[in-house]
Amino acid sequence: MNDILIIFPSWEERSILGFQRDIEQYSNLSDVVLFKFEVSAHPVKTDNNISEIKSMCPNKNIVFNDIVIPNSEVEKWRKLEDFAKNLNVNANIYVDITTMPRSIIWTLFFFFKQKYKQVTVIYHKPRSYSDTWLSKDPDIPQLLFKHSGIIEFGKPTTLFVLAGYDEDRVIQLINYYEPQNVIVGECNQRKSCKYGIAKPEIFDIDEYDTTWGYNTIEPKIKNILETSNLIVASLGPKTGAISIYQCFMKYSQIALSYVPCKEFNIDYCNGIGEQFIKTIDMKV
Amino acid sequence: MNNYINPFEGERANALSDDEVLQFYIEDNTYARFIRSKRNIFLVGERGCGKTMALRYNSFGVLCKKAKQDGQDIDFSTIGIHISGSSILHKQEYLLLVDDFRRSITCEHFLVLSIMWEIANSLCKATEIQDAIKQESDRLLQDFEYILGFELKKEYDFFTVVRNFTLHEARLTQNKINRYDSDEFYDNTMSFSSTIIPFIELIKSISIFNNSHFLLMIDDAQTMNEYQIKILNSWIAYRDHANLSFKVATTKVDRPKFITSTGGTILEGHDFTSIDMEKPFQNPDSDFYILAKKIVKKRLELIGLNNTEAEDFFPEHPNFTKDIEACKDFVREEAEDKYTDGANKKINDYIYKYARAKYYRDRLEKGKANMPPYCGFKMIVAVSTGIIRNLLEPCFFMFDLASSNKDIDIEKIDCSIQNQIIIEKSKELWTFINEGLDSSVENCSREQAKQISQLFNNLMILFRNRLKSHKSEPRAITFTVSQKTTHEKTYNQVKKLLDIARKSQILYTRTSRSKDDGKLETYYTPNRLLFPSLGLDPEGQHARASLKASDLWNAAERNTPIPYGDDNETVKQQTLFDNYE
Repeated sequence: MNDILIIFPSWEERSILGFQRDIEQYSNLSDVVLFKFEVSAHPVKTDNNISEIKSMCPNKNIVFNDIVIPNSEVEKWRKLEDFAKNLNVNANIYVDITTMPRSIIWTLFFFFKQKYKQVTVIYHKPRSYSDTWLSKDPDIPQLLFKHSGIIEFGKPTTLFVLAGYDEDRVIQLINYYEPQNVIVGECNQRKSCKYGIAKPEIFDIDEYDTTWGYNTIEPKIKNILETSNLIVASLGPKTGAISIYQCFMKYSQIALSYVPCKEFNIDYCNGIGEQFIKTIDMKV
Repeated sequence: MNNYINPFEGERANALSDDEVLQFYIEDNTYARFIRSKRNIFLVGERGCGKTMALRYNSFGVLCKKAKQDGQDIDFSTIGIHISGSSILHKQEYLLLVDDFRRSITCEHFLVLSIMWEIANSLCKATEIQDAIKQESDRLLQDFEYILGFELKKEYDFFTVVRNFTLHEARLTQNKINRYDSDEFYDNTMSFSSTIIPFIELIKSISIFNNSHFLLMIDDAQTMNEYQIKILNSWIAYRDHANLSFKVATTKVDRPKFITSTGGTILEGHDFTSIDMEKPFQNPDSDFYILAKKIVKKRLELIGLNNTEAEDFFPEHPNFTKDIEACKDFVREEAEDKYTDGANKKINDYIYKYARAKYYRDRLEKGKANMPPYCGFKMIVAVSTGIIRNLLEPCFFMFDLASSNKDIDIEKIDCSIQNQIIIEKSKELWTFINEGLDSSVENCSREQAKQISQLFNNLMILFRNRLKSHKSEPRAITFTVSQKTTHEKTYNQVKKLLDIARKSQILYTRTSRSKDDGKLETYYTPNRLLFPSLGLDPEGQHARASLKASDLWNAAERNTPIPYGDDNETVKQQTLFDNYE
């Protein structure tokens, strides 16, 4: 049986440090599939990290494959669809989501849901975040293909956001979708942000707890869906993105939204911190 | 009086209930005339200028409530159907279809479902309609089944059945296209010509609707995808306006193109008329000022202040009023010395141009300690730049702050609070320009953000220089851009930045006739909220500065000052906050 690790490294230190941990921990890995964008942020550093990751594989008898993902949304989808179709249905799948864009995470999960009973997800927290900006030059918010939910005429729209440090992104989502209601989950350690005149309902969430925040958000989402259309976005830790997807698997009427950005702060985080691992049941 | 309600809340029209729309909307006969006409209309204006409110007010549901409130019969001559930019129109699964035709009909299907639902939902509520169709429901349902080619569940009245059918169809379509295969396609798509047109004709066969004209009011057209826009344009090009017409609300920047599905074009004047929703707002006699007063007055009625005028609730600082009068007197003497023939118009024009200029000039020279007080309803209208949402937002924060400071009922907002909020919001807007554009504005790169920041900083330095020393138009804070044909590349580079600035709502435009050759010209007005934190006058005057594209580009790209040539003074490199650091 193949044990396949899927990664999407970036310029960040934890791309390499996390991969080192992964291959130590999962000594039975047979293959690594590395995704990279056609045009990536901080390409020099990213390519250096990729080279280093590639160089680690032969010692561990791991077959290295890299797949270039087009930046266009349609071609990205088709590429991931092809990839998933060609995966061995008997393989054990491990996904290191540490630096993987959320749209890629969710898309992969969509295809894996058709084939696999479970997927193991790995996330490496950074040691620290910087105080400055995280992302810039956003595109317009998108509803992910096949995850645009079931919108019912006549129902109000609620925007449900797990906020990160990028307050601007939350405001952008509010301004774009102009929902009737806004609900924002904030991590305890994060500064309480202002969201302009929107005055959303705020709740606390810990996306690093044992359920990755799922136990906090699921009942809220279930409640909202009784009376409202729901658009959900994950801007905080990637663990929250997984919990959101678990909610989507249970309530497919949710619409998943993301905001592609073209620029990222090269210094937005440092080092590597705690590791989080979870096996996700794909047959909900 | 209840002070726990902020009367200025709910500045977004989409968030209001029908009752609130009825309560807050100030009827404008001009817009009503156009919206209720049989012409296709584009309502054009930037976000927050009142387009959605105008459409919603003229929707059948709201007008029914108004009729009941006024004790009148419902008017069935025009049936306004408001179709908002629902999330269903943001779906992108159509992009996964390889076939362009299938993409187009999928997009049309969702538009058709949205329209059909809104028609059915609007008409199923009124009891007068329920009574009128009681006898005819079976016939209507039978005819509609024939149109659709489906059997309908006939448990309820005609419009409720159609509404439920539409909900069901929308669900089925979405479930189908959300399935695993990328090329999942819903086979039973509906088109405008096969569904909406016969549906409306069927409705018109009902006696009370025999002479009705349907106004299909499409909101936020600038958010539509390319297929939806072409489809909508094709509908607008449809010749027969007897039964229906389109009223399309869109922003100016990102206004949809006029191309149809078949590659043709819709033409202004022939196929549609455009209405600019952004009113002149220069002075207390202007349309916008009068509207702003009415809006605030209505809002104050919510907290029991039924006879309070906007100017009384947001009073001007007495010292400001006194000092402006003193400046007028000073300048009047100058004018009377200059125009010894006693020509009143010339003297009054002189006072208009120079009195306020003198006031702000004197304070700029004295520095930070002598910042003018930014308060008074006129000031609030000025900093709104003629946009309703920009009027209500600072009022909201002022009331919020006043409520937190007091336990007693609020009867007016202190000048200190007004000034504090205006200066605070002005600084926030500058922070947004100098640090936040590329974080928040779609498709604004870091380079463009820096260029826009430099451009705006240099524009303000120019306006400050003009205020301090311009001989003829010291308070001109509107500009046009020249060199369109002589420096085309540079002009387009500048235009791109100005378009981003417009999308970010730090810049607004008006179209007017040029004095020189009578051609239509675009007048650019920076968001007037930018002026207070710099100690400048946000009111401006009826004048514009003509700025060269090359100068604007140099200001943006190289941070070089925009040349100021009223006299031969050399423009030194300045920072924006020279007087206040």
